[in-house]
Amino acid sequence: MTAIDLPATTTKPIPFVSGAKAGIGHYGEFAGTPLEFLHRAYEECGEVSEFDLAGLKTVLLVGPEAHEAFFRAPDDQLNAAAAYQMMVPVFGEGIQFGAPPDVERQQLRIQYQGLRYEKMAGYYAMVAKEVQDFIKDWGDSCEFDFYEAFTDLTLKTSTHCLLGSDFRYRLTGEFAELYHDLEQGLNASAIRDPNQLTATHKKRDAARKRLQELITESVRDRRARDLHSEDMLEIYMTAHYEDGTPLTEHEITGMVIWFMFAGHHTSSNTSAWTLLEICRHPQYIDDLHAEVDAVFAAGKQSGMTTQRDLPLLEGFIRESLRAHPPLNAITRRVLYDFEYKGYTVEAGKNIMVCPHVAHHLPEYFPNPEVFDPRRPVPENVFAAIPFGGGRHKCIGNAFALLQVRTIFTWLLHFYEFELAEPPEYYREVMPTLILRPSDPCPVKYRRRKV
Amino acid sequence: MAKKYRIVVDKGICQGHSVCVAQAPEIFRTVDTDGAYPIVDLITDTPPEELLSKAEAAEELCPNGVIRIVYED
Repeated sequence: MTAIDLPATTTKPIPFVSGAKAGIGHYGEFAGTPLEFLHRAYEECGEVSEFDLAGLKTVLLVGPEAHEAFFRAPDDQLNAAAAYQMMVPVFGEGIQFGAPPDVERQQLRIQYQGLRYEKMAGYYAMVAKEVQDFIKDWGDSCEFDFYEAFTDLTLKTSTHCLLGSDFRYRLTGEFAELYHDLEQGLNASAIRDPNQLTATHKKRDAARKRLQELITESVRDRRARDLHSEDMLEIYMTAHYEDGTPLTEHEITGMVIWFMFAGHHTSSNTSAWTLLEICRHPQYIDDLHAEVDAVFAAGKQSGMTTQRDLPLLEGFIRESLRAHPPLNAITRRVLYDFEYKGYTVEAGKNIMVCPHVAHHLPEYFPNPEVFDPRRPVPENVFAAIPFGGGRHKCIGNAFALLQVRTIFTWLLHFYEFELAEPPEYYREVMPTLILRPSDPCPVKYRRRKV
Repeated sequence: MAKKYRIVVDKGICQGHSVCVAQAPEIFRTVDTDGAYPIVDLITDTPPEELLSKAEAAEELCPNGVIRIVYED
């Protein structure tokens, strides 16, 4: 071909990951061991790679520059709603990704009302109260499963901040079961077929219906008694769309479920990894205790603290989010061709970034396998992406960090912790779409002399 | 000698958490938008030296890393 025959623009072929199997492509490997697969894709192909999830062509982007292009792309080009349709039956039709973009935007605006900085102090008093209740019967020493414990504790803190103390103390048991049923429908197969209707999905739909009955009962009771509260439910009950229409009972329930799914497991897993890493690094424990004791000495234990009050604890939480980010990937559907460094990702494909791969790049995180709670925050805001990035970053990120910080302020002031098994016993596993420590998770605690 | 600095914000990644407004209301405010969130707006990009520590707190505590302080010689 002579130079004159070249088209006006040329695009480079995107490297294709090896090992595709007939019919399913890389789906088996991705569904079984997603992180290992995504690391392999990057090691084999570099910054941009493509693979096949049973017919769904998917492109992985790696590195801060690529993440920035991904997160700054307009919604009508890289679209979250189209990629996350499996959430629609869980949250309900007409909510978030099941709503038209303009309605979703207004619903996000309502969620934001409950997560504003000035609302935080009220939530943290609720979180602190839950942690006090959580440890009140612990006694002087024992062994416990910290993964189960944090799942339980953060369910209580979330329910409390979301639905208020009345709901929290009356209905947490049933709520936990329904929430569990809702979650079961979410797995790798739901990405391929969001509308499948197995027994698990029927159970999910029954749970959604029952949850709406419970929440509606609470809403009607509050309205009948003219009760007002500082929780999220109050926000949903009083919110209006821009045309003045209030949220329906179906939508209020959907907003509650959306908030729970965004915040619960991410916070419980981050708490679990943070405790595990604190136990794995006993050389820092005296400094950690000194920090939290100073917060108590200043009387700030039930209120707002910042990373300035607790820099080493913050380092543990952020480094836990770096080393063990909860989400396996953040995905968008390409609605019109996306160009990046001479590559073209065509409309109809999925495109994703992977926090775990991103957080183990030695160029941005030297010695990435080393857990270092004093690791400097990278200059580039798109290097660490545990909550996503840009204007679609998880709006609850500040709430999540404050919640985990409050939990550990209380736990570390009253107790010290020690692994019940050798450090290597606790492995990263991903049985659902969230990264957790392998089961079981035994840890010993002992009351401190304070 | 007075330490000169200016403030740069990346509005494209702001989600209106307003931590900066709580830290330094003399420098930052949020303004409503057509989008899902209000976003940060600078009352001044060259605040006086006595506000530097407040500006630094806003930079450090912003959940989205929106704020950058550029020190000038």
